[in-house]
Amino acid sequence: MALPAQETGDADHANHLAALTRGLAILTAFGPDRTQSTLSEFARLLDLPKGTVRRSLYTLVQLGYLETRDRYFVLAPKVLQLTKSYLTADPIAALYQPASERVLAEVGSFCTVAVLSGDDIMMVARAVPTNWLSTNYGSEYRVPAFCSALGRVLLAGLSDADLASFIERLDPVALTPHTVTTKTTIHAAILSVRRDGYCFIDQEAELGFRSVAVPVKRYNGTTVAAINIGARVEAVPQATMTGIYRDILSREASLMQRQLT
Amino acid sequence: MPRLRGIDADRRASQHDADFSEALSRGLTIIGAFEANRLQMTLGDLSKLVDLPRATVRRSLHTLMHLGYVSFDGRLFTLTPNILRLATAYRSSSPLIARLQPICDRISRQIEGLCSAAVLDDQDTMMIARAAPGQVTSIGMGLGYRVPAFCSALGRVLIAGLDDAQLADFFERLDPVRQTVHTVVDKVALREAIGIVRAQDFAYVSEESVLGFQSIAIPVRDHQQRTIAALNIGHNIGKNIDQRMQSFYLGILREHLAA
Repeated sequence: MALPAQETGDADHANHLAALTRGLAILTAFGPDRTQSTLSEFARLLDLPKGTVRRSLYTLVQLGYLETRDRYFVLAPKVLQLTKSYLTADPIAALYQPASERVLAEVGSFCTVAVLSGDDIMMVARAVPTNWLSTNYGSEYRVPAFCSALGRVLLAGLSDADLASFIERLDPVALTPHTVTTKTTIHAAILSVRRDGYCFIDQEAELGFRSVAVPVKRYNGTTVAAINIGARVEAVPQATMTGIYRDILSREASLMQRQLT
Repeated sequence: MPRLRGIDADRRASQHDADFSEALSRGLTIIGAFEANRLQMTLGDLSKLVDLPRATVRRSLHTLMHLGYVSFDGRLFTLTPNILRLATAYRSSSPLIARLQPICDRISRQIEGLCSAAVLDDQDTMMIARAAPGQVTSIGMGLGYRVPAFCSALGRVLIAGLDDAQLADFFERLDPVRQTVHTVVDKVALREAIGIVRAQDFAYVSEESVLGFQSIAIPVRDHQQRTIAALNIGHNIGKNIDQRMQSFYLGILREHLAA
């Protein structure tokens, strides 16, 4: 596809093209067989006069992409800044934590983002009210997936076959007196989460705690994580959890979906 | 993006430097302007972001398209995954990575947790090697990720490894920006924290850079005993690493680094 209003053919343009091309050729020349090179070696490799290559090397050193070791040039870690758009696409840092903190700021309750890890859920981002003194509640790193809202949302995102095999190997152990441990009931509950698009759970994972969760999906609809709000039962009524709180989570999930390409 | 503008301003100030190639510098600045959540941009977006005239940006983009680093759909420019060749070049040529990546892999497997290595890049800590359980690291996911050095364990170890003049300079230029409610932003307190890191030869930081994230880090030194990188174990579990666990993790970090 042609560039808009592109000027071609002028000498300045050709020079520009050459300078950038040379610089990138030098940076990509490094590898297991070339961990360092001298000016002469680069001149030979690029088949260019030393003066021209010296200018490229000098510029790359000035910019911090190359370092010198005596006569040798080596790649500097700063070159990773050029690839950060691909490699630092760490959704945890880029999306999940800010989303959790926005939700916390809005509702004042715990907000957690979790992913499925085996048959458990693993928390990958979390925002906790600052006045929260007890460290026991809502801070578990791994929680069985079957009895938590985050877990059921993640399980609902599995394929039918994966879900069936999860249910088959499941050996539900009650975590509280409220934990449902009948496999058929759990399976049915997960299927309704799939239909409803959210999950509300009251004290099944932790006594005194309730939670509402929604899936975080990629652009193609695959569930990649789940986001929840957790609150003390006496602090937030169920209707608020499944009403306003659920809407807030859905908003955050759709904001993230646009970026989870 | 004040950072990009800053670099460009510096370059303009040194424009009389005849050996410096503006064309190369600008092309790389444009590559660096793409972000994970901003992989596609219009000419106008890019031109505004790097603070360069549209004609200049268009010329660089044309070259980058020609080389296969950028694609264009009639409206949006996209940085292509070809750019990963640069990361591959670095990862496969750097002796530091050859040494540290396998260590990260082994530690991560042993503790079933996150292990990273980083270097200091001006005022930031930048990841150069990393291993996390269940994650494929062969393409280098997470590398190049930066956090302010003053509030991370990796960063404090790296700062502690500066010589006194560099340390004074670091603190003079430091403008600590709060990252979480736990971030220490008082320069005197931070200076003291660095003194402690120097004395005990490790850093432990809890939730100062990311909420719920704890990290313990040790220096990686060259044969002249200069700190060239830092290695850490981190976790997201939101629980303090108590003293017993700290000693346990320190033992693992030191043992694998010495091996």
